[in-house]
Amino acid sequence: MIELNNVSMKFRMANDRIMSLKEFVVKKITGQIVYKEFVALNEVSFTIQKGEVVGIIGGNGAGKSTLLKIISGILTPTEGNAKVSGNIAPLLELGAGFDIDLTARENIFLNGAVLGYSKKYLTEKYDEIVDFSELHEFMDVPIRNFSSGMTARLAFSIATLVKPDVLIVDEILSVGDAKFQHKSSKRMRELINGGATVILVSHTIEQIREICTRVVWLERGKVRMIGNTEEVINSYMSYVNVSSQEESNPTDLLKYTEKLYTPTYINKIDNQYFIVDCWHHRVIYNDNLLDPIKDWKTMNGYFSIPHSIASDGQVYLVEDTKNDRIKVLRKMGNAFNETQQIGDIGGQPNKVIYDSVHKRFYGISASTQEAFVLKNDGKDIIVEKVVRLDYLGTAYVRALSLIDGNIYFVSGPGKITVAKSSDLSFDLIGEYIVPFELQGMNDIAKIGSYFYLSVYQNGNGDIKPRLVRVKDLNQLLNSYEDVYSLLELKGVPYYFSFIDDRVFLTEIDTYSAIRSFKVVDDQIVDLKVHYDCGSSDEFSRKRRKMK
Amino acid sequence: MIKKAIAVQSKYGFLLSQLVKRDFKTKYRRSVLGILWSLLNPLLIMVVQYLVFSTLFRFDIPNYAVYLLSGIVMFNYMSEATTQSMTCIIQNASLINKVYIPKYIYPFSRVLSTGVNFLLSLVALYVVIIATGMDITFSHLAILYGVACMFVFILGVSLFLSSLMVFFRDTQFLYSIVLTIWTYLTPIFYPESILPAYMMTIMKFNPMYHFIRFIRFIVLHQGIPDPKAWLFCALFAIISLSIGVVVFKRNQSKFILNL
Repeated sequence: MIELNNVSMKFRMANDRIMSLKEFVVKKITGQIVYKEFVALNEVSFTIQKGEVVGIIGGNGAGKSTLLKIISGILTPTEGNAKVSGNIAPLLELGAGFDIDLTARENIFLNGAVLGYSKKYLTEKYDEIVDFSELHEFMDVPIRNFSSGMTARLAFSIATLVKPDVLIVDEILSVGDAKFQHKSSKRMRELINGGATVILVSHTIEQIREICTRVVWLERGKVRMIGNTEEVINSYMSYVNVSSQEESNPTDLLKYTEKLYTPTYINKIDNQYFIVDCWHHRVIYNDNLLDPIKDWKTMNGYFSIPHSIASDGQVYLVEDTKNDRIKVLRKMGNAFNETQQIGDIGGQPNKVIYDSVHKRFYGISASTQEAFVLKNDGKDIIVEKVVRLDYLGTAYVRALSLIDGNIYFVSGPGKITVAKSSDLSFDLIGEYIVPFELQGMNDIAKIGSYFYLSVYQNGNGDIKPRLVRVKDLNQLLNSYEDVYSLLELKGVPYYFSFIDDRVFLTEIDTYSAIRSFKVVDDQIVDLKVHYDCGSSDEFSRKRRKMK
Repeated sequence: MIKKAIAVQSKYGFLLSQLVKRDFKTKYRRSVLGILWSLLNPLLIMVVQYLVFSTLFRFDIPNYAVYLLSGIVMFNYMSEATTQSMTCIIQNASLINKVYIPKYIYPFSRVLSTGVNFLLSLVALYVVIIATGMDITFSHLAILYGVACMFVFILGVSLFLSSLMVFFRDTQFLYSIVLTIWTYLTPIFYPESILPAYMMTIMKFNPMYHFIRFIRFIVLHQGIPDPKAWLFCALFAIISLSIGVVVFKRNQSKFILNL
């Protein structure tokens, strides 16, 4: 636990730093010494509980580094006090205390000692350090002959050996070449998720978003805001973006959190409801559907235009569509934290579903027509297969649905395509031609004896929302039933989901809403509107544009 | 107090040993003779000074080689340790800025690492003692006391200088002059008998004079120094350490602001 009580740090800066005795005496006598007080931290108070991962953000000179130094005991505050329990591992700079004239082996022990490890511990872990750094054959070489990358690798391997109670990280998350960067960022994640209390300073907001459960925003030595990661970061980003033009009120910028803007998907997993609030770049959750949106909690992490969420009860997969990757989250205490990212699965993954029979996830990357299969091996999510589906042509494929054991892709190139999924071959089983006005499909679902289709655009790409149903997909060209007005829709119907005994349908773009209905003997009954957010306001539009 | 000291020792003892090893290893790294220099250096200085002073000035000192070398070895340790320690805080600025380590570790490790050097030059001294056919008696054990007192004295001076250096960088230049004066004010190569009376009074305030005298008495006369000599050694050691610790402790939290 870390407790800061009214911590202030003042530096007395003489106009010109006096470095010589003569200068000092002369100036003291002639009264030329003018001290200027510089307040690096001004009455900063907050408490960090054990196991929390806290990010510190703020511009240059906001006092972030000073704060870290006070917490790690390097600086003594001028006023107030900092209480830290447990052993601290400051990863402030890699290779502190390295001596270039010593060999790598000698430096491991020297640097390890500087970082506070015991001889016994270092001797035990020596092989592990060498293995991780992959510098086996260079252990007896003085590090003056090392490249900077090799030195960084060695330093990283030593510094991250710890199992500390408190981990202090200042902007170091990956070093070395691409391969080692991957390895080191994984190691950092393990350390951070290892149960230690973590304090992270970073200028990469993305990192803070992914890792931290709480964020402290410092501005000119004062705590400007402290709280939930998303809220603080969003206000910070808006502040950074607009502060040059106008002084804005942080609460104003959070107004968007009261509404939904293009909610693409709703789902219920383990008694928790999740709404993918696509154009607000977030996923929110709550245990009931009656609370207003502003009371819902936000999953940690930034998702650029996410579309859906899928879960096997252990992990939660959400698309980071714009960044071409899937984020894997796990529930930790009361929060959902990112534990993994999955890339190389094609462009703009748009939908992920979970197949509870085969215990695997299927997904589709919209712009490259690639289907991917992911599997939870108990520890990590692994990519089992990524396959480009030529029969999808160049269509923008928004969804895949598991219907009667087969996968249905929409939109195909003017058709609905059915593929075999049980053996992961994705072999084409059938195709159904779709009339012009329905060609820009969003989703397909089978409810009762009908197939339901939600439609965004017609074959020319003009936005013409439709919701239709048909019993036999072969009949689609001849006749179908339009249920758009029956459901009292106003915007673009998007994804279907099945929660308890009801069908949920999200409504996006021009009009944001979440509706549900029941289907009894193919009759649509019991319409309900859960959230009706209407068209977007300026706060939502601002948020959509924000990165 | 003792418990705390043991806890600190177990926590930072390893670091201390690593820092001493580092200093010692890097000192002679890339030199051909390496560690031999610790032996050779005082011996060569002795040879030069021996030639100069025994032929030019003709001091009438029995066993002049041992007389000279004992002085050189002791004084060199003092000057080397204090000069090295003086800059240790500013040299380790980057480390101090990044990791919390009790700051006294830095001067302490320097005094220890030059101490290892000193022990090696003591070997050189004994080589000369044996070579000149002098006796080694049990009284030589008392040398340990003298060395210990000198060690404490040097530690005190080092703590003081290293903290002063952080605030006034001129210290190093001033101190080199002080060292030169100090060398001449200490009877290293000349006998104290040539000093006028008033100089002898001043000499009483020179700690190095007492340490060197203490040890010379043992190696040259194979006797145990008188109680007064023991007392003086302890006194200077304690005074120096007290001043050093107080100055260092008072200022150490301000070091980082001036680095």
